[in-house]
Amino acid sequence: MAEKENIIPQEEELQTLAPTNDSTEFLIPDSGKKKLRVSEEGHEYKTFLTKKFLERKPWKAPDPYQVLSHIPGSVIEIFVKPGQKVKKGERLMVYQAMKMNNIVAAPMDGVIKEVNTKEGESLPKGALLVTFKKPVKK
Amino acid sequence: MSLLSKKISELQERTQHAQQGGGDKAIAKQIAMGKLPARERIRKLLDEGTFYEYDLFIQHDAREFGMEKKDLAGDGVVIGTGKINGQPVAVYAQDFTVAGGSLGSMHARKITKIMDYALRMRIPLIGINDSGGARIQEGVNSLAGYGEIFFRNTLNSGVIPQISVILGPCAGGAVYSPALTDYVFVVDKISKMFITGPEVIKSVLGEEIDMESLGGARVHCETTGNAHFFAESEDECFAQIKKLLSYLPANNQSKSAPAKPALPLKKYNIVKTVPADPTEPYDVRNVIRAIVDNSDFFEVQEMWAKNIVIGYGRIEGRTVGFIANQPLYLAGVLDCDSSDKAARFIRYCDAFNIPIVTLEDMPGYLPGVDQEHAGVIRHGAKLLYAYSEATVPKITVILRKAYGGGYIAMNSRHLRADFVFAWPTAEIAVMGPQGAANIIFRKEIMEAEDPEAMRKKKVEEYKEKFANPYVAASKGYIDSVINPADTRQFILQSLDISQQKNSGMPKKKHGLPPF
Repeated sequence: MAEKENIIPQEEELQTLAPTNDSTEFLIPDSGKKKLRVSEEGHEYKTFLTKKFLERKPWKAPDPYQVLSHIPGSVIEIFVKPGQKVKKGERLMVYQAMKMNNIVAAPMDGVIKEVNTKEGESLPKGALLVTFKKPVKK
Repeated sequence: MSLLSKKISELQERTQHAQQGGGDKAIAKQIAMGKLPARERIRKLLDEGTFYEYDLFIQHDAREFGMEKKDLAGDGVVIGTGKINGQPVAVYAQDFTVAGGSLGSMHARKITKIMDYALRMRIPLIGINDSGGARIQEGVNSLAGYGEIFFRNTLNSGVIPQISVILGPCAGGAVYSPALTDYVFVVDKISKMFITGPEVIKSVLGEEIDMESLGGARVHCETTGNAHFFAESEDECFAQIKKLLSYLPANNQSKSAPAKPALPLKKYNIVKTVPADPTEPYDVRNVIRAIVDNSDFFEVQEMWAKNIVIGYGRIEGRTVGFIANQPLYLAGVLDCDSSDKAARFIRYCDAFNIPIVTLEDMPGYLPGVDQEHAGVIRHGAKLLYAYSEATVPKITVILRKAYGGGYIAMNSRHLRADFVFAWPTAEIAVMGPQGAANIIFRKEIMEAEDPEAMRKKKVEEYKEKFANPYVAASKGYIDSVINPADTRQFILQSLDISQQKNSGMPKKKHGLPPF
């Protein structure tokens, strides 16, 4: 029995992810708390959380007007300026990574709003390189 | 009317009734969603007039919740046999117009019947998925049905080609049948696959996401790697299936049907495609196109892990599986996803007697905390395992960079490649000149008056000495250094020589790849 008490955590240590009464608000665990209570259709399960779960980042819709780096590397040469019109597939910059002078190409036809890096800069994966102007909706 | 013609007209009535599926209203709704009815799909997929349907008069056996009063035509699934490219296939298609294509026990029995048939006849199996999921009224019987299907998917795996086509929702446990099969086809805006839908995700975790971003066709082709072929329409999807099947044998005891031999198109010039400067990117698919008949390369998983390219082509009419590093994306590095993608494809080719040609140009494994923590060791090992285990003819051509662990992994001589060729532009070494010079000549560089100049000198020295194919050639690790223009000829000759290849693995129940 003693063992069982160890596996089932005490109520006050738990946190709940269950919907609150108006069912639109949710409680998300603080990173400090290591346990939560999951509720689905009124069933509650007491459980410990893994480190990976606690450190996960909520999903964010990607912004199609941002060009990001896919790999750590450095900017060798930039071909575009803010305000410049580009066609899909046109070269935006040379981005050196893994012994290769990679070409970063325009993902769409559009106008450059901002160049968010400069030549010679070393960048991690996922860094913002170029921002496109969002077309004004008619 | 004679008794016989009465009986025949009764049969016709019954057939007509059963074939109307969920009725005109439900069919109109299906079409309004941009989807075809189940029998129409089969008709379009198969060679004209070849479809024979079985189990049309199956009745569901639910006796609870008022289900006993319901008449569900064919229990929501169509099964039968037919031909594609003149070759026999077994097929099933869930009918969303009948009870949302939900899976009850008789529905599952029809599917497992055609699966057993496909295995016994050693013919490919094609499953068209379009279902709301388990039929809740049938409770655990419905779950049992899924289990029986998954078991057969596993049993059939590597014996007959199994193809899944997702033409509607495929959610919850149902996704595991496609996941267990060889190739998954999806259509934009129509296919939806997920374990738990947006509503459950919202209620449990508070994360908001729409169905398309969670499990739409594009997501499974670009992000998850669950799907292999993306199409804009159902018609395009059926054309892709027909094309894929043209490369595959009917089962693991036979060979792919040969096509009429043809030369590559003149516009694909292998010498002009690959820049001699190893820092210049290019599209390796154009190298493959310069090698295969008609320059016709049929790419698999085109949108996922683009740093490695896999797919089928023909050389002198015979099917060949290609694996090639793609310098155009992520410099062609190996990483978790690309290792996974290539490893599975290699095992597929091996299971179905398709020779493998590897085109190598990669700087090594991608460094980074996220890769290490994502398990690049475990995933990378799959590639080594798959190449080592494969006993079909294995040919490697090293175009440019072949560094470090990646050199070993990409079907090197040491993993029992049958033929290894290298272009004069090949660089085969333990690591790139920069890194290697910094380690080997550390002392000289540190002690030099001008360390930077010394570093440059030593890098050049290393390049001169080791960044070439001749050191590996001097050890016999590569068989020939070849003129790039002769690549097709060398591959063709190797395929000819290895037609009767016979090399087995030691007998075992099964190996233990790092799944």
